[in-house]
Amino acid sequence: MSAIQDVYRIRTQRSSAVRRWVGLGILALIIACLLRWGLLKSVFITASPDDCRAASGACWAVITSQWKLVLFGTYPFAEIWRPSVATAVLLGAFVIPLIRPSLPALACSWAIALVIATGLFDGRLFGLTYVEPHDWGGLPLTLLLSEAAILFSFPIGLAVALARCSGRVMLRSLALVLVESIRGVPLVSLLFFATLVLPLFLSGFSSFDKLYGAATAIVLFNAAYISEVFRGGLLTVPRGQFDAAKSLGLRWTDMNRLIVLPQAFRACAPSLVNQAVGIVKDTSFLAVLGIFDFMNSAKLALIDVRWRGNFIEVYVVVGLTYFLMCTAVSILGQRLSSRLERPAKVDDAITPVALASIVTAGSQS
Amino acid sequence: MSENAPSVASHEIGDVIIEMRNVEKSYGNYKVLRGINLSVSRGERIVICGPSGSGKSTLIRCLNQLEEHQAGEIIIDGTTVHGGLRGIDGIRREIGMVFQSFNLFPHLTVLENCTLAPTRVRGVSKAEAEATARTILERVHIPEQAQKYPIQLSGGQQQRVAIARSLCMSPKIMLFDEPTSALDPEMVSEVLDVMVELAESGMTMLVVTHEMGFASRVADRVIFMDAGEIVEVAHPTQFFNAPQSLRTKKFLGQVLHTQAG
Ligand SMILES: Nc1ncnc2c1ncn2[C@@H]1O[C@H](COP(=O)(O)OP(=O)(O)OP(=O)(O)O)[C@@H](O)[C@H]1O
Ligand SMILES: [Mg+2]
Repeated sequence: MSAIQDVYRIRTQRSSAVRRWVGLGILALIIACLLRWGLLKSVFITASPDDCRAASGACWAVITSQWKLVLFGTYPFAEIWRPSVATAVLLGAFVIPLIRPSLPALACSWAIALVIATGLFDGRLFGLTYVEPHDWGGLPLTLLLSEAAILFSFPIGLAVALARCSGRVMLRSLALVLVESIRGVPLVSLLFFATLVLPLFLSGFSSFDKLYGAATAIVLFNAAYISEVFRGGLLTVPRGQFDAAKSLGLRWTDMNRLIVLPQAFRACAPSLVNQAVGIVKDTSFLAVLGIFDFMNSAKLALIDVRWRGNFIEVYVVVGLTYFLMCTAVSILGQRLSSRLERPAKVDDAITPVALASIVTAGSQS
Repeated sequence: MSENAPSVASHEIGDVIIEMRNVEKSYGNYKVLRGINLSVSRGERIVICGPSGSGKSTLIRCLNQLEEHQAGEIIIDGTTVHGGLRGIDGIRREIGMVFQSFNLFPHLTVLENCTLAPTRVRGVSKAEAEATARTILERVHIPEQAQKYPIQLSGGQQQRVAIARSLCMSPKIMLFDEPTSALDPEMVSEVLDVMVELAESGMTMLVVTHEMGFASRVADRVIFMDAGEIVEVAHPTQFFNAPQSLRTKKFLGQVLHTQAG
């Protein structure tokens, strides 16, 4: 190695060291500021907003003093044990498929949990006092809507995708029209359509609350997108797989369930997880209809003029909660799809040693 | 495999199991099959050859209705098959099919590939299906690969698994569509050997192939197709030594030339 190269090497090493220390310094500073604001100088519990004004840090008291509003929205306070139990049930149903990652386990536990949770919210199923959907709200409602929307939109999306790939022209065009007409409209206008226009046609159902209409809109909207994701997955399955399955005499359902779908799922699993995470966030659109989902309920904490200034704290808490929910969905998605991993051919795998030799070979040239 | 290899011992030929009458098939305006007449007896071994695009694949794919024909009649073991036939699954499970590109199920192990259809379609118990599968994997000389995934096998091994998968359904007829065309030359014979053994066992076989050595050794009849028609049907000895039509001669000239080289 020549002297010039030597000097160059030392200089780049030195400058990269400098950059590293500057970077770490900035990061440490940011963390320190956040800690100071969020923990050290913050006020967690107080009844009077004046204490907050005196402190230089965050005022978490805006949440803690109004936790009922933030967590449960407009749900009657005397009954909040019901949405609390519902939340526990919904979370439990979420954890079961994490332990035992299988689609049937997930579908069953979620369906059961949804019935119980809705029954608790509503009350009549368990002989409790009736609480109108109009009064439901808060974090439990967001969880309920998210799980319901995911549970319904995936099978519908799958059915539409299969229809679009089917040999029957009528079925195929019907699915096409459905997908294009739903996908071509913003979610918000679909929400208004489902809650304002649809009830006019369904006047027979006097108890048809806008919450159900809105949930239907979210399900259909996402089902349209999911069907396209599934279709993309179905298109990756080679025609020979269909030939082989048919030639063995497999029935249509078995061919799809055992041969085609597992391969299609594997191809589109990352995009499906994307969609599931999107659904959780889509539920916050219900605020435009005056439904008190978690986001909207949390904002109730700011109605009181004395707390109005603390919107940053409220949005930080809301944001972190959504982040946790979405991360949980994404972990679940990964758990489920990791079972579909393609078996690797032994000599296909790039070992760390091989990778290192490629990299060094590249840098030497 | 040389052409002088001893031919498979003479065997029983029974009643008619496949009957094609004036079968026509077109894609749009393009006629792929132009009035095919063919009758195959139980236990017969038929080799179909012909230039690319002559309709060989289409012909055998019509037999199990992977393609639907538009005119004429196809009768499989007494049942007339046609597009939209409700019981087509029942016919298909009696007809094994081996493809040029193997078409193994990549997400299932070799054993699962072999047991899937027997358990799902025939309602055989898992244990019984596995026992059968292992016996048949032994017959195609790969019992040790049962737990592997298709992608971990060589082409020749994959094609033998594909044959085993079909055999596990104990079909009455086996269709082969250029089973060795996608294989490296050194793997061709291991697949052909399995097919010869299958022929010796008395299976009714329709084989699309250009392996003329295999044809002369195994076939009861060789069928030459061109432009959607059956041009010549003959016993292999006559087919190779005294072809009747000009088109057959020309084709044989090309094929034998390339296979010798
Ligand atoms: N799905 C299809 N749509 C339109 N044309 C098709 C289709 N499948 C096959 N064909 C045409 O039908 C003709 C016969 O095809 P086929 O696959 O039966 O020929 P082949 O004799 O098997 O040829 P090869 O030796 O190349 O496999 C070809 O000209 C082909 O282009
Ligand atoms: Mg072909």
